[in-house]
Amino acid sequence: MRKLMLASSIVMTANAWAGPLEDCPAEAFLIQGNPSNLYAVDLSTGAYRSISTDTGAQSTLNAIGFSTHDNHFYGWDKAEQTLFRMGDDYRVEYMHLSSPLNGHYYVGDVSLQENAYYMYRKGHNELHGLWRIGLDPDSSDYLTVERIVDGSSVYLNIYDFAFHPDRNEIYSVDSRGNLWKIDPANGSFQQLGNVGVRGTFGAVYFDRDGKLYISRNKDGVIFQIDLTGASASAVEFAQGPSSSSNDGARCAIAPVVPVGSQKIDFGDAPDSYGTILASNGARHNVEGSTVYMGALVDGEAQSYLAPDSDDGFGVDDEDGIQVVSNLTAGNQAILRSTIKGSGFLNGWIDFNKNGRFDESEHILVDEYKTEGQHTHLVDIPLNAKGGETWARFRVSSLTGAQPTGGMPDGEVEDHKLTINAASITRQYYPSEAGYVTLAFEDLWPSRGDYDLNDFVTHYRTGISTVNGEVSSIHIGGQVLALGATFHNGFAVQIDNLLPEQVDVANIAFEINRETINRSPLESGHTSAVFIVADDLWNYVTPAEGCTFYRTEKNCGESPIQFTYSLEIPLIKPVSADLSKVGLYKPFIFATPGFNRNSIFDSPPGRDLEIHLKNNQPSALADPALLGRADDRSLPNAEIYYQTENGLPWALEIGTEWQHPWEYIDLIQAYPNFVDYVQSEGQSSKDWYLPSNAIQSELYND
Amino acid sequence: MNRLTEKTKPNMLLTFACANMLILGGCAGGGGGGSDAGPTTAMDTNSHTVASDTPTSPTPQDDSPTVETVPAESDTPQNDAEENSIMVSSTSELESSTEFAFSTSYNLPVSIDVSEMAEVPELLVICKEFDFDGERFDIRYNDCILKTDLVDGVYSGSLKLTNDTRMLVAALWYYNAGKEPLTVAWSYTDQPEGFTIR
Repeated sequence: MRKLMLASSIVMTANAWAGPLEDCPAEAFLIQGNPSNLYAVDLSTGAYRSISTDTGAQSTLNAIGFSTHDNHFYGWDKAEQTLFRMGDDYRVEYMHLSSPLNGHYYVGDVSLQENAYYMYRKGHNELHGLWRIGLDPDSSDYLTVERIVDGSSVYLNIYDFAFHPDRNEIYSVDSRGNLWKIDPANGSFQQLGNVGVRGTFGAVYFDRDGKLYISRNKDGVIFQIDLTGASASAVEFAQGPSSSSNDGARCAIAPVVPVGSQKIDFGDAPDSYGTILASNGARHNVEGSTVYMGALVDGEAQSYLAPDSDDGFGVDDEDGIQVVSNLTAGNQAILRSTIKGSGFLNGWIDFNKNGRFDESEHILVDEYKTEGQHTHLVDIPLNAKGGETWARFRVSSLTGAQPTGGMPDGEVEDHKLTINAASITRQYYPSEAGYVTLAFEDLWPSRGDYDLNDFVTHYRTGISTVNGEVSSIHIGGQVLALGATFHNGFAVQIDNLLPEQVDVANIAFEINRETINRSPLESGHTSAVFIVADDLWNYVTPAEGCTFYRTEKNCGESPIQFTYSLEIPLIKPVSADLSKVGLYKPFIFATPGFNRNSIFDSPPGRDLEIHLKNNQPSALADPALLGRADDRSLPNAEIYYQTENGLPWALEIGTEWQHPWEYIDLIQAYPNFVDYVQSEGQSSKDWYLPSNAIQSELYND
Repeated sequence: MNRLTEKTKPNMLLTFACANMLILGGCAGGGGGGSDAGPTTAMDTNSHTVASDTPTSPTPQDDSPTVETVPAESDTPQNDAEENSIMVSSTSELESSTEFAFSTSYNLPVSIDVSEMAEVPELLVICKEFDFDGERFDIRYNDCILKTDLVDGVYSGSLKLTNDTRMLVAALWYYNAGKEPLTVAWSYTDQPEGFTIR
């Protein structure tokens, strides 16, 4: 079947050769129109930009491929009926072949394993078939044209093909969705199955992981096909540009998202929802986007899954969707969106908590919204499962967003929501997203150095009530500092809550956004005690050169490494006075097995607790430790955890407090604390605010 | 007390009334005043010095034997505080009574009764994070203190607030996507005894 066209002298065009592209581009390239324009397409989102509107061609360019051998594009010019190549000026340079081919070819690519260009056209004409053109100037077959197989032997309705990055194999998908593999050595072909989508796939690419991408002309949808699976099916991957005439080329050894790229916004829900790029996660190109949600949007090279969060990197851009009401099964809920620009809003809530966004959970479907705030009334199904779940919202100038996949503009926001089984009143201290701060000195019963940073945590509580009775309790926070070497645990006691009233099996306990399977409910108490951590040092590591966690100057910086959340349902609602809940009784305790002050001959372990002033220790604390050293607790008088001067070992501070540097006395950092104490809280009540602090004395990361 | 009458039922009127309260510091109840502090955030809206005999918040705090405190006076000049202080060089030299709990919070009673409105709101949301542009409140609904359905337009309860929380906004919603909420502001300056809407 092979037909060799004899080589002739090689004559280049008069143009000086352009240089090669500097790098192997991560973007794909599309040739469209007549005369042809060249576009660069971000396969991950479908965003595209014009590269050249003047390629120098007078007619249609087609069958382009990218050569990793010389970083040039090669393709076929319909009018000139010859091969062209294109360098960094994106203008065509015609190449005179060994033998002219007076045909038109619209399917082509350059092999990665051999420096040769292949093109194809189906049909019986002698010009049709699979052709090879050598591209190695040092080879005797340079620009020699060779027909590998005739076009009737390989009769495929394909409109582009692409070489695999690792194997000398050609792949394409025909208009019926059949996946084909072609051997360039002999033109033999094999159907590998059907990918499940139909259309004219005018651009076909590979990435370096061997995933195949096909772009459908009529709607611009880019599908991804994983060839490693048992059945290769097409997954809608991104929304790209549509065109009646399309051909694509790509450097097949480039990643889809360039390393260090910050132009894509990802969600941050667990990956079961489709979040990271490898899972075809929801993502939007933000570069140049004119539509997004809220006031902020940022890009990231990859999704921040648990324990990270998109909120903690760049800017906290999850500000476009707000949940106004509680979400109750069988009721309506009110959501509020803030749109910048205008576009189509889609939203999903995982009502059945199966870790996916099902079609039936698509609560907002291509709702066109102009700039401003919008109210959405959402029906929460009666059978929605109670507890925490996830929602995803996407806005784009294009319709058709799915829970996964890329969009060329807009934004995605993932939000954790709580669905309630019954209509509740939800109350927070200090607020749903705010924190107060707990700061501990841990030398008790010896007096500390009052830098108040031995253990510092942001802290929040919440309570749900049904008809005035408590149905669930929330405790959450993040550990800001450990400025001591002692090993401490952290716990919270809730007075008037009996352990047997707690629905232990359904406690949602998370550390760093990951579910913890151990029960936090400690046994041996008459009032429920929840252990957040047995040893706080198990969850944090000092930064490089530091002894402690986030308290020292002149050593490395550390992000917050420990967040916690407990949602504690009760077996049935319990009557409680709301004024008696709020802070509860947070305390630290000595981690068993670790030595402590020289006061103790042996590790005191769970016997030692340190509470806020005048909070009674739990049932597991050893009362014999009270009153030792500098402690002046008098249990009979309900006096606990204070020095002879009435000073505490722990403070609750009504804001997201900035703690002092290591060894900096509290009043050096917050001078108004003196007046606050001496006036017994009648003045300088806001001593703890940043505006009242000496900033240089505060830990600053 | 903020009284909702038939005259104030239209959204614009209600918002306007609340805007007046915020700007003039004296809408529909509480002591008057002349604060010109804008309600930009809760933390920078301190407006006056609370006298030493100012009533404390009326509900006891927590379940520990604490001394209740009142909201902050962040405009108290630091040097005034220093003048009134016994000079100390370290925290360990400070002295407090055995009862003083070092609390930085207080409780605020909330009483809502909008049952007589022609169209009774169905949802109450109280938040402390908001912006105000002179006409409308831009409330951050993901950071609120209380969310509750209203039963016949009535709610009674108590909020635990940090000392520096001086202003709140209540949004009274209808389960109707086309209907904007009614908004009512509260400031400690004007209603230290509680947040009441009638």
